[in-house]
Amino acid sequence: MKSPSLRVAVTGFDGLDNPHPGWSVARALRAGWEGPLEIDALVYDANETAAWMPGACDAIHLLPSLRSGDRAVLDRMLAIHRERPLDAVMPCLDLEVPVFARLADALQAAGIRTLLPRPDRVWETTKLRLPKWCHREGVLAPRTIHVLDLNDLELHADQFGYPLVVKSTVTGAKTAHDRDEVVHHAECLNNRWGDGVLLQQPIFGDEIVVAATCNEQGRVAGLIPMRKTGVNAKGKAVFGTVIDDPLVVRTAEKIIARLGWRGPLELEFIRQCGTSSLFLIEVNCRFPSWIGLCAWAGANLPVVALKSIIGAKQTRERVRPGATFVRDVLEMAVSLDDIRGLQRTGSVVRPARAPRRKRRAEDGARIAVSGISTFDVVNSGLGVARALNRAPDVRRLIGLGYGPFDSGIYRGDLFDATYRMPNPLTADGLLDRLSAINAESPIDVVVPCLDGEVPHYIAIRDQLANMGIRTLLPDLKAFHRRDKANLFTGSFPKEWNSFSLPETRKVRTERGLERAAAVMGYPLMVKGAISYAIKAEDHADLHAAWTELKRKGERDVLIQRYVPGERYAVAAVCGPDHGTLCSFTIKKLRVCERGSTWSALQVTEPQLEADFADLLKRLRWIGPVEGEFIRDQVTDDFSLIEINPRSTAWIGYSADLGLNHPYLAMQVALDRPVAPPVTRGRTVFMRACEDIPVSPTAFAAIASKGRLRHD
Amino acid sequence: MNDSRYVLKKRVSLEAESEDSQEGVVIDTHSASMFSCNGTAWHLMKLLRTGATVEQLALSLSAHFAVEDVDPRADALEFVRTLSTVELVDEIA
Repeated sequence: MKSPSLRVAVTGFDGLDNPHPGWSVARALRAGWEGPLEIDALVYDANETAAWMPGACDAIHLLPSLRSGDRAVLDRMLAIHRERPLDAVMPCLDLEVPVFARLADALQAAGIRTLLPRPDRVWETTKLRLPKWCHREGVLAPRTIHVLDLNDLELHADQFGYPLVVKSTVTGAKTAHDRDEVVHHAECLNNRWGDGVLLQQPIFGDEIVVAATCNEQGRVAGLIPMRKTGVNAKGKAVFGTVIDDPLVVRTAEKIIARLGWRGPLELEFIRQCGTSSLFLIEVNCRFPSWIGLCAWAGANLPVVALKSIIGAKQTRERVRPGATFVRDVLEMAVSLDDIRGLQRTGSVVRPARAPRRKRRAEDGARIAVSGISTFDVVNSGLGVARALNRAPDVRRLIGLGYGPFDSGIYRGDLFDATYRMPNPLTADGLLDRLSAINAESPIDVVVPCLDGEVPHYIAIRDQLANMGIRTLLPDLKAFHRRDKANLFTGSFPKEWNSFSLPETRKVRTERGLERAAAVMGYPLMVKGAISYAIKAEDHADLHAAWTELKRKGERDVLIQRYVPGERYAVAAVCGPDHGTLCSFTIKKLRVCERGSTWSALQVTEPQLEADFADLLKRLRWIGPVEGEFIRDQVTDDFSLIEINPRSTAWIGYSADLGLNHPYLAMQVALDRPVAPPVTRGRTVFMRACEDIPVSPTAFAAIASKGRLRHD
Repeated sequence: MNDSRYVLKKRVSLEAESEDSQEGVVIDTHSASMFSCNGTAWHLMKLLRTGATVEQLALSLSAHFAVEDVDPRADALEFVRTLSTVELVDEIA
C-alpha cells in the first residue's frame, strides 16, 4: 500500500567527523518511503554541513538555540509550519528530545505530529541516572560512580583501579591509565559539559549497538543490531555489520519493555570477552548516526518510525544480517548566496545541488591516487579523485588503499578499480606493488597523498619513470626542509613579509619542556615532529600532552607559541623550476577536533600567496603542497604553522572553483602545457560524513585478493 | 569424527556475487565475522549447507577438482576441523 504524501522536519545535520544522525535519517526516509515525501532540515547554524548535501532535504530552516527556551523553539516551529506545513517532526539530538517531548501537545494541536518518549523516561536513561535504573531493573551494567566535586576524583579513581573510563555527564569518554590521566580528562570534560564526571569500570569485548523504534503503545516496531567492526581512535564506529544474535535481540527487547519507550532509541552494549555477557553502556534517546545502514538491511527504521507517527499500519520486518556500512565523506560547493539567504531569512527552499559526476575520456590519462581512507582523518586522495573526476582528459582512476576499512576502496563513483598497498610500506615493497598493478592496470601518473609515503615515492621515482609512471614530486632534501623540526627550529628564515613562523623549541626531556614553557608562557602548542598538536593552557596540560605524545611514540616534541585566531590555508602547485603555477587561499569555517577542514571559503590574499610562493621557491619545492596559517585575532598577521607535502584534503574544492589543482599537477607531470586557471563563482566548500554500503564480496575481494574492480 | 555428518549452523550465511559464483564469503551472523572462500572452500560450503560427511566432501572434491597430488580426504577433514574451531558447523552423529 502506498504511503501518503508527507512533509517531515528532521534535525541533526551536523556532518563533521562525529556526525549527527539527521542526514542518515533523511537518506533512509528517501530510500524507503513510498510516495511523495518532502524533508525539511532544522539546523542551529548555517554551517551544519550535511544539510547542504545532495538529496539531504528540500528546505533548510534555522532554529533558535535550545538555551533560548521551549517557547522560542515552539514559536519558531509554528512560524515554519505557517510557511511550509509540516506533518511530523523527528528530532535527532539528545538534548532536543526532552524539549520536543515537552512541546509535543502544542505541536500536535498545530498539526505537527511526533512520537517521543515521556520526559521522565528520557531522564531515567541519562548518563547520570542510567546506572541506578539498571541496578533497579536488574540490567547488567558496568560499575559507575558520579564524581561531582573534582577534589574527590583521585580518591574514587584509586579505589576503582586502573584503567578506568572517564565520562562526561553529556557526551564524551576517555580511558585513563593512571591518576594524572584521570585528572586531565576529567578537567577537560567537566570544563566543557559541567556537572562533574562519571568514573566507570571498563568492559573489554565487542561493541554491539541496537537501534530500535517503538510505537505509541511502547511495543517494538523495528529493531536492528549492529556490531562495530571498525572503530577509530575517537571510539566511533566507521565500519559495522548487521548481526542477528537472538541473545542480543532478546536482551534489547527486555530492556526496551522495561523502559516503556516511544519513538527511536539506541542501546549501546559491550559483549564481554570470554563470558558473552552483554553490559549496557548507554541509552541514546534518538536514532544513531549509522541508522542509514538499516535501509540496506531490510528494516528501514526511520520509515517505520514515521509510519508509527502517522498511525499507518505496518508489520515488523526481519533484518538481513551481513549488511555492512563504511563511513565515507561527501563534499560539495554550496552557493554562498544560499548560505547568506539562510542566515538572513532563516529559511532556504530547494537549495541548489551539484550532481555527482564521473567523467572519462577514451584517450585520457590513467591516474593512480593513494590516501583514500577516512578512518581517523579524511585523507586527501579522495579530494584529489573528486577533482580528477571532473577533469577533461582522464581515462581511468585507480585508488590505492591500505586496508579493507579504507572507505575510498568502495567508491565506484570515484574509482574504476582499487588496489591494496603493502603495510607497512617500504620503497622496495612499493615498487613491487606498483609494478604488479601497472602490469594489470597501466598507470600514467601516480599521486601519493599521505605524508609518510612521499619519501618512498621520491626514492623510486626514477624506476617508476622507467615503467612509464610519472610523478610530480620534490627531492628528498626539500621534503625534509619543510618538516616541522627543520622549518621551525632550524636556520630557515622566520620572517616572510605577510607571515612569520612562530617561536618554536624542540625538546627531548621533561626538563627541556619546563624551560621552554617558562620562556614562552601559556598557552602553548605541544606538537609531535610528525603529527599531533595539543594545546596546553597550564602546567598540568603541558605534562599531559608530553605524556600523550611520548605514548604515541614521538621522539622529538616541539613547543610552539600559541597564536589565537582564525585558520587559513594556501594550496599551491609548484612546477619543476620550483615556481608556483597556481595557488589559492581559503578561510576555514568549520574545523573538527583533529584539525581537518569541513567547511571553507576562498578568500583573496595575494600577498600571502606571493610570499608563500617565495618560501616554496626557497624550499625548492615541486608538486602539490599546502601551507596552514593562523591569522592573529589582534594583529591580523599570519603565522605559518605547517607545510603539508602533498595535496590538502579539501583540494576537491579547487575543481569547484575552476582551478583544479590535481588536474594541473597531472598535466605538469605529463609534460603537457598548462593554461592559467580562472576562479569562478562564490561558493563555500562543505564536507559531511556519508555512510555507504559495502557488500561482503567486495570486502572479501580487497581483503584477500587485494583488488576490487568497479568498471 | 569419521562417520559424522556436518552441517552449517543456522547462523551462518553464504554470500556471493551471483548464484553461479565460484567463490564467496561466509558470514557468522551472530558475530559479523567474515571468511573469504576460494573455489574449493566455496564448493564444500555449499555442500555443508544441507549437510555431508567427510567422505562425501572428499568424493566431491575428487569429482570436481584436480586432486592428483593431494589427499582429498585429509583436506576435507582439515577443512571441517577448521570450521568446527570457529564454530561454523554442527556435528550430527
